[in-house]
Amino acid sequence: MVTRLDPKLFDATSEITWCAGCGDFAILKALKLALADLSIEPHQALVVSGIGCGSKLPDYMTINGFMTIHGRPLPVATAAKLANPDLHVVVVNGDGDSYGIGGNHFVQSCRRNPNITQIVENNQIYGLTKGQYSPTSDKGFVTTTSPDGAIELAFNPMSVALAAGATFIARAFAGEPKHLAQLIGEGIQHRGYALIDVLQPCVTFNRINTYDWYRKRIYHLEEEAYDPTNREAAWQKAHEWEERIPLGVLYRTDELPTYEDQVPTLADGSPVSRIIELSRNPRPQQYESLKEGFL
Amino acid sequence: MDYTQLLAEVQEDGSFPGREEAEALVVSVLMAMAEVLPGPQLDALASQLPPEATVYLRRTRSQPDPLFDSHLFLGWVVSTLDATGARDKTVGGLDLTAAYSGEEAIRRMRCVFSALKRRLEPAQQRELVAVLPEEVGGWFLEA
Amino acid sequence: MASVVTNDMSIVIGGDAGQGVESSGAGFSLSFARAGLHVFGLQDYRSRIRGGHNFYQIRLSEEPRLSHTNPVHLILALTPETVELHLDRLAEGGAVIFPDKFEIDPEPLKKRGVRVDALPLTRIAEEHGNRVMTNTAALGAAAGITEFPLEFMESVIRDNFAAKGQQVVDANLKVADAAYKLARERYGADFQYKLAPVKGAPRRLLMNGNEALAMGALAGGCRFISAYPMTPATSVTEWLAALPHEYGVVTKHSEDEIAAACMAIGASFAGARAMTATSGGGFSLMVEAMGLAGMVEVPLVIVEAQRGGPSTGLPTRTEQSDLLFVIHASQGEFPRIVTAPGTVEECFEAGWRAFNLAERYQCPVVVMTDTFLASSLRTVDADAIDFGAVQIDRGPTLTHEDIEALSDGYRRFQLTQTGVSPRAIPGHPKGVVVASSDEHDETGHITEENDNRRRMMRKRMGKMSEAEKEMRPPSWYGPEKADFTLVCWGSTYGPCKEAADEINEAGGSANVLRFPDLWPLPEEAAAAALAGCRRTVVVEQNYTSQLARLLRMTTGIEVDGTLNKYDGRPFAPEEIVAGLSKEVASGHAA
Repeated sequence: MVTRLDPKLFDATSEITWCAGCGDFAILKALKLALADLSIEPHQALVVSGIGCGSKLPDYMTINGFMTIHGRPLPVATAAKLANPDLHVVVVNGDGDSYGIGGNHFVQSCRRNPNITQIVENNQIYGLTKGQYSPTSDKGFVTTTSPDGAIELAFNPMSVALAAGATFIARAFAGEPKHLAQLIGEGIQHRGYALIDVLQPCVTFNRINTYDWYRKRIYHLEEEAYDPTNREAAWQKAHEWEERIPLGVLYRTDELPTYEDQVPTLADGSPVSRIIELSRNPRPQQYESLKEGFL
Repeated sequence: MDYTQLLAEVQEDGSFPGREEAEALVVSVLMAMAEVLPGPQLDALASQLPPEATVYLRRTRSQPDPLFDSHLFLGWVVSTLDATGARDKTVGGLDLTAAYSGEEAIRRMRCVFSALKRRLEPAQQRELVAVLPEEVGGWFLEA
Repeated sequence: MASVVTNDMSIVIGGDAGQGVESSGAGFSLSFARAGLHVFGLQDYRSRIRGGHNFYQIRLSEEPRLSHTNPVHLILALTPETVELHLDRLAEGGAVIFPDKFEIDPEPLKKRGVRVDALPLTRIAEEHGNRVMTNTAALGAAAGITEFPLEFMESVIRDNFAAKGQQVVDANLKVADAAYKLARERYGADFQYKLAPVKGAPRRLLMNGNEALAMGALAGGCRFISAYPMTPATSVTEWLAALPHEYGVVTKHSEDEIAAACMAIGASFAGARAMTATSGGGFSLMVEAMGLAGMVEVPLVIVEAQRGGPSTGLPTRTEQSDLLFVIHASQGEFPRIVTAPGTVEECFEAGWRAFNLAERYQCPVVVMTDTFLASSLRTVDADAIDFGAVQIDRGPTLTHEDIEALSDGYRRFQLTQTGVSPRAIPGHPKGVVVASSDEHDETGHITEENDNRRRMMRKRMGKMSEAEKEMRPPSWYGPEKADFTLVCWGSTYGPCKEAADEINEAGGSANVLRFPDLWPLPEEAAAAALAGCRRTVVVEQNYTSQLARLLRMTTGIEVDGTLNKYDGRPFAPEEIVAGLSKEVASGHAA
């Protein structure tokens, strides 16, 4: 991977509060690398996060960043993109933020296909609140809020995304940052909503899904003869978990227009460009004809 | 035999109460090595270790991830540490002792590195340091 | 016959939900507006798709009216139930028109001296092709009996039914004509209430508060609205969504109100003028997001069109019961501005002013209306909607040239005298913007450090003292000194104004003190105004007298009495008059 910009451009001086060994370090590194490789400069991108350990990521970067509220980065990011389609918008949040409280926005984004990229730091636990189970915790996972083991089946983001119509669905592993950076780059370049679910060990609270646990199960789809444009195959792969976990692009289609492509009012300007223009040149006469509808 | 010896050394060096803790640590360091070492260096290391240990040096991918850094290396080792305390009755969840994890993981890593260094020629050690992530190489040298 | 009264009456069209009462009423109102009459159109309908009574009440006058009144002079009954429900309101000499197929007990009507007119409306409709045109027949008959020239109704029929094809237009015209002629011939001479076009009347727009608000927002540069349909706010979004694409308004019907608010915040963060519109239940879902906007100092305009609560409440009815909720919504403390227009014209102004306030103070601005103001139709002078008077003031929003000229690193939350920091629009290399809902420092990065926290709280809350200087003081209507001062906010202004007029004309003494900007409340001006009154009575549509409480909370002044109405129906001026005459201490109006 030839790096066009220096990823250090994205470095910041903020003290990082992640635990030593946290998988988020790799995600942070991979994101910087992916942006640098695409020659996207800090002011040209916007990283929107929710609430959680991983959602502090924008705080540790020099980049336009917006740390919002729990579960809500997707609508914020979607609208920021609509308001200024020139921004490269990336959402970064955790599994609880995205698949639990943010579940509705997640499902809607899959079918909405906004031209944004979402990186989910999936550690199958709630880290910031110190150890409760999450939507992606496996059934039976014991935590302070699931003392007898999690009762529900784990949320399967791959199959849900596929069923909901997402046009780019990928999975990566924090323990393989280069592969992750590659997928992030592909996601950013993908025209449409790109989901990258990153298996990311929480070394402090999740004693089950460790680096080793993932290592024993993950395999790479590109090392098999796998066609990511095949929905049926993707549906099969989306349900692999217990013993084998596929990494890479599970599904992609480049045939669907993005949400923004289909908004006619974006044709000749954006909400941001228009108000800049209007504040210089309001042209009040442009509205007079609207009175006709009330006469 | 030498495997038991290896574990005993690590256990003493690290003052671990039980053999299991030493073994978990050795295993995690070896697995982390397997993540990051290129083929030739991995084989060279394996050749110096007892078979019960080399089994953890096998990996499925042909090439290591070139971005595998000291954070990730630490992550493999930290996973073996207990970093939580009792229930946090004020804020909820479990109180964590993860603040110690980094330093403790490095301390433990060094115990394993010492044991490994005893089984490696200086030239082999230098070769290893050359391909390890920078900070990890430093910990190895200090061990 | 009693003396003729021209151009001063109210007409009620009543029927079941699903009979098209709303569009009939609106269409009929338009025909009068086109003839130069002043129109006030009030709807009353249920939260049902079909079945159950609803009605449209049209008040006609040569004077501008800001309210309906209860007495009606002509009832067009599409169901027998309509007659029963509205008979008590029928004024002396009034008429009830209904299709002759109805079985109505004539006794109660005869007792009231009401002339019972059964016209073959359904037959006329069916004769021309469709029973649904019974409505048109009823309207035609109404025009006939009041001898109002049919041409105005005809022009509305042509416009309204154009989309359904020429045949439908022609059929409706024939129906209207047939009913008109029949009604006029049979009853015209005996019916004392007449309607006639007003010569030389200026062009007037027939619009409701929502439409005016949406238009104001557009003129103010709003090019993004995200919203979830909720009665009575939906038409704000729909009006903007129906605009020609050239205006460039991005509208998003979001998955829920949480998304609606968060999207508006995202668009605003990126530098657009963005808004959302909802009612109390939707606002409840937006509460957390409002706090986000306040904390990261993102301008956010929220239209809260109140309706009967609590919970699902009375979805299609009016109330003013969210005032204190809106003023205090969301956890913690942060600046916000709350304003309440009282008339359709004021809704237009509120639409663009809200964005100026939001960007000048970089905080949430809530424009509060209610079902009564949002959906009642009123004739407004075309010139009163003055696009030339609209100002677009972005406050300390930085242009690209401004950012280029920055010498130090840009800090989004830079401490300033006023508490408002220069705001960069993301996209410029020297203006990278970081915002966090956690407490943060000037650069936007997270910190819990206590000195910084104190500075940031003072910074944000300091904006309120600045904003207060711009908040409009309460305004007066009526004689300078009066026995009673009707204190009000929002749409109650209209009925209060008419009530005061009525009282004064009858020899009494009343004036109106109205609060247009509610938060931050201009406390000194409020206290001074209240102190100068003899007896203050707060008139509001809620149970707990929220404006009265707000006034006491801020100024320490307790009003002398309250008049509360919380049955989901808007105050009629005569109800206020009646309430006052009881020397109300804390009265609950009918």
